[in-house]
Amino acid sequence: MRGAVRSFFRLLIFQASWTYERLQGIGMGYTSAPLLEPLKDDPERYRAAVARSAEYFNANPYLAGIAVGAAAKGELEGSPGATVRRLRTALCGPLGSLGDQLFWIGVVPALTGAALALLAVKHNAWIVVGLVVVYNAIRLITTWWGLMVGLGSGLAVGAALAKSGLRATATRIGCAAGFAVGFALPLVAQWYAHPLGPPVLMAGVAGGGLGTLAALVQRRVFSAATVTPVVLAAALLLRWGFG
Amino acid sequence: MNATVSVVVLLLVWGTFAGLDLATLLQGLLTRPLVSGSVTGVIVGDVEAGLRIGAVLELFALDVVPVGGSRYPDYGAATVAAVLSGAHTDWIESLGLSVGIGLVLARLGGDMVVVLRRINARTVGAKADLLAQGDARAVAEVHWAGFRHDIVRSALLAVLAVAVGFAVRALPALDPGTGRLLGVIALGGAFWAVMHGAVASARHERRWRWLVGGLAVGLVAALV
Repeated sequence: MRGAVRSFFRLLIFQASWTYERLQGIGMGYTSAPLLEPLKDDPERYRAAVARSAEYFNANPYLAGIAVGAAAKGELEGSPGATVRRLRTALCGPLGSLGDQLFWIGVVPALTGAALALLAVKHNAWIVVGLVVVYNAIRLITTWWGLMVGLGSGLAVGAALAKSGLRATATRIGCAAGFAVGFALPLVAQWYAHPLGPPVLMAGVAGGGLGTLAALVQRRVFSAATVTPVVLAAALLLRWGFG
Repeated sequence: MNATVSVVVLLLVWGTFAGLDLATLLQGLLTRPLVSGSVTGVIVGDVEAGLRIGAVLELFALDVVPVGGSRYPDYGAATVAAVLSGAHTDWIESLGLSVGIGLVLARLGGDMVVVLRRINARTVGAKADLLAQGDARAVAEVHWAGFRHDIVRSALLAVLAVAVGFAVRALPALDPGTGRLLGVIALGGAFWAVMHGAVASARHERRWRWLVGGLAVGLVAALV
């Protein structure tokens, strides 16, 4: 379809204009614009489609191409504006939830966990290069695939998504992520324990236990990223005070 | 380490680029501490510091799910500051301080994202009529304005990160005992973060089993 390649490249800056009012709406409009160009022959219809494309939208950015493609195809096929709006709204939840499961708590921890485990053993920066290359290959292929699925299925994108096997893939990648992170932790602890000694192992067990407990009771008054600098500063002051 | 102009420029460029990768451009893991730390390590000529400090901050980052309107830290430039402050020192003694600096700057970077989004909203508000009329040029202008705003945010954060990194380097080194204590505290916090993230993500039983299995296999591998 005309404009698909330009739309794909625009998906790589999809979130540049994120706001709390429209969320990714403007990004959606900017990305959809090349796909809507065939409507320019009918200026009124074109303007209405562009205005709709830039309204409120939110999804995982890696899967947003599915909605971009599906909504654009709906517009090109002459679907009523209200129908296209409903489609966009209906896709926000599933594409957000599925994409977050697939990437943020799936592919990202799976690959970084594997990279950390390898680094703990090999201490080689090329592992990080490999991580970036593999992740971006997955990211770009998913983005292109999503755009094509959307453009191919239009208003029937729900059925196409159900057949795509994305949910099963997300579950499988989630399991791989759990394993990779779990596998990496003892190796990383050993990597630092070698010169720093047993206190690292004790800190690892205590810290890991606290984190597990906090997640299990589903209460997080403070995150580790908030508490750690405070404890570091307190330890520093105490050492200086008694030094 | 020599603070040559080329090193400073490279650090600023990398810090800015890593900041843009957080949400605006690509989102290709470049902002992750492991990646940002490794590149910074290469720039300053101490790859091991980049890997060691980046890996600890990565454990903190694994507790973050950057969804929708949630407030999340920006580790890109923060890791630049952390690695810069700890490069070419005995990492055992500088790890804790470097990680602490990284965590504080990452939070500041996240707060700056909130400000950025409010500034973007003002740009949208100024063009609201044109957007409602379906003016494709206005859509593009607003989008690219957001891109430019994030370049400014990321560059400011990179300047701050490089300044903090060099300022910490200029301070007297911590005594070995204090340095080691801070290192152990930072690692304890990192394991807290990563386990919280891993357990919170394991919402179904299968993933739980894989997490526990991974821990068991990793433990055996570490002991062997």
